[in-house]
Amino acid sequence: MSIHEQFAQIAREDGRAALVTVVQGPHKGEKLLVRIDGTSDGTLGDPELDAQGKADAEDLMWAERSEVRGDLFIDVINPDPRIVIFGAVEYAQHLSALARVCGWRPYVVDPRARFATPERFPDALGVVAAWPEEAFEQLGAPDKGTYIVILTHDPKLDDATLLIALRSDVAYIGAMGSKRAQKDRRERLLAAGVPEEDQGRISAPVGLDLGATNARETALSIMAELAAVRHGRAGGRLSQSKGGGRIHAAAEAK
Amino acid sequence: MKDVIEDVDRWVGEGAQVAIATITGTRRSAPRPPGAKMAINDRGDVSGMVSGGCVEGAVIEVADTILNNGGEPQLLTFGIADEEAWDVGLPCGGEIDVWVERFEP
Repeated sequence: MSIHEQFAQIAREDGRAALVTVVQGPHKGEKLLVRIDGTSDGTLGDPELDAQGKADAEDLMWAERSEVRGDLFIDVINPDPRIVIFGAVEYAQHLSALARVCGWRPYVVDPRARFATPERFPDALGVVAAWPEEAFEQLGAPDKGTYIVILTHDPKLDDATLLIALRSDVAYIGAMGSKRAQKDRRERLLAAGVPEEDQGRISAPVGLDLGATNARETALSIMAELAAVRHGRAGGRLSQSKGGGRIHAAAEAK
Repeated sequence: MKDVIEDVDRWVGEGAQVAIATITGTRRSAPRPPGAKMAINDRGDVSGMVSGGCVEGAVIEVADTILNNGGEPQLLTFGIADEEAWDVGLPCGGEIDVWVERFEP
């Protein structure tokens, strides 16, 4: 199977990999495919270049960014980001709908089987009626491409989810809740052995400050925060940004 | 790759020759990021895009040469600073590099 075809096959399976191509110099056109498990195929025509390409590929595969480094172009493919929403509540319905529109992969988890039904969440790619630990067994372990949003108001479920999330390297952990609920949560997590500095990873309350007045707008504010986090942005208004509203600036930053 | 894979698979299945154009770099303001792709076959069909329609014509010409005359892969640069700015360039004022090569199925 050609290197191109192997890369295409990983793209068809929605996998993660990098195709390194020499775009300048004597080895122009040579290719090296690097997979997520560290294995590779092909050669850039020079062992040093291969080692460099492999290191660059491993670096960029999780950054989910394609770029030129030296004479090499590292072309990265990755699955669409995954949102695991805890709490089969109304916000979760709207958030999963918005996630699909934006090309993300939403899943809904809630141990209360009466609420966690596929009928209530037609836009979710999966609805799991289970506690977090079992849910992640079914959905696949949390990884750097996973965003966790906790929308329950049930401390037991919140804490069970947070303890798993904080042990993982997920891209984002957000939790809904009032100031009071956050204070209580902080104390419970401290008691469970999670130090303050680790709790700093939790975004609470979730969302950007849109002044949302209904569940759909709240879901929009959460989706907007997720997109901003994914792209390393603060999430302000383009018209008031330093670049004078340069809408394509993201391409430059990459 | 995902943006053009369905069309590429179909074309290859029909026995067509296929070239792929990939954005490798952007400077200043550019509409699509590195990795974005356009696929072109030897019958003149096109899938996907590398800009907002500003430089596609020039990319297709290079792809044609690669497919029909056995040309080598090429790294192209487009920008407003080009001599050709009046017919090929990016109105948003940016520059893009595009790698064009034959897709080997």
